[in-house]
Amino acid sequence: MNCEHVQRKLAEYSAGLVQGDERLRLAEHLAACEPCRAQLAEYRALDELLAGERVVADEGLVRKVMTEVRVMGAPRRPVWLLSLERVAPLATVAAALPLLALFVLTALNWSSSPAADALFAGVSYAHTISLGLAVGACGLAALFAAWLTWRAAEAVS
Amino acid sequence: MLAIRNPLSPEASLVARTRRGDAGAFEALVRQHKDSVLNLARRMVADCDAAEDIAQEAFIKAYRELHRFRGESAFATWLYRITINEARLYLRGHQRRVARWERQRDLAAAEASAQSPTDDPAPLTELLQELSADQREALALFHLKELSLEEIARTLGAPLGTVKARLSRGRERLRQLARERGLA
Ligand SMILES: [Zn+2]
Repeated sequence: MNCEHVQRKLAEYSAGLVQGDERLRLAEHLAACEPCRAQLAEYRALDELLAGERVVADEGLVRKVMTEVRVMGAPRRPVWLLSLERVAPLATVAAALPLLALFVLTALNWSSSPAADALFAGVSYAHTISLGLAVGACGLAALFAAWLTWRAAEAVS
Repeated sequence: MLAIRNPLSPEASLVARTRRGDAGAFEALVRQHKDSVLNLARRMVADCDAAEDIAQEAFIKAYRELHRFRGESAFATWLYRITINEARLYLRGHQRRVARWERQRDLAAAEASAQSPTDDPAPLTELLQELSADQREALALFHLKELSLEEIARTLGAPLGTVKARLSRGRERLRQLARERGLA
């Protein structure tokens, strides 16, 4: 390990960001090398200086924050989120209904009862496709609404 | 990565009490974190008054946006993220103001003489301002001495290796600058 390599690593080493073998090898070199040690001392001095410049927040900060907070009242969840929470379960149910309807219709179709034959007599291929797309969209909406509800509930916890 | 949740930690209970409208619980949170938030802001912008405004605004925003805090990280890291965002907003506004001054040279000159450096109580904090914002943010969080490298990375929303590189380059640059100014 030469000085150039060591000095490139000193910024990390002095911050405790070098671990394991490499740390040991750097420490070994530093123990034997005066110029590298001098540079390490510079980093240590910087850290001490910065630590010494630390300030303490006075009571004024707490007072200003709390005055404002008391005016604001209890933290409220925003109206859009509240209304979403209220609407989301309903939307889930509403969107799930067409899915249920499709399920029932399909079951009827396969059962080939006279009632089902009458029901599907006028249904074309295009009808079936558009019904399928509509139901798919409703299903996605249901999933989305369920996800929103879950997320909103999660945010409260 | 999965965050460990500890719903029974004293801090989580202070957050829960704040949500139920207990202002005293929020005051306890403010007291717990006021020094760290102020120092973070100060190292970001150097200016004492601006740092105090940023810290104040960060706490108020945290209170207002408490419904967004999901307890996946520590309250402190969430608060630091808000503080850094506030500092970024301030710096952006500050840059705009500086640009305006530069267009009006007379005004700029007047401004410069008006805020000529008084006796500087924090030369290194001032020196931090000459680093890139990325490096400064990483260093400011690092020097709180509260967060692990992983937590710093999560607070900044950057990969671990990137944050390590920013810290390393920032420290190196700071040392060079301090040398040039005869501070170290
Ligand atoms: Zn050497």
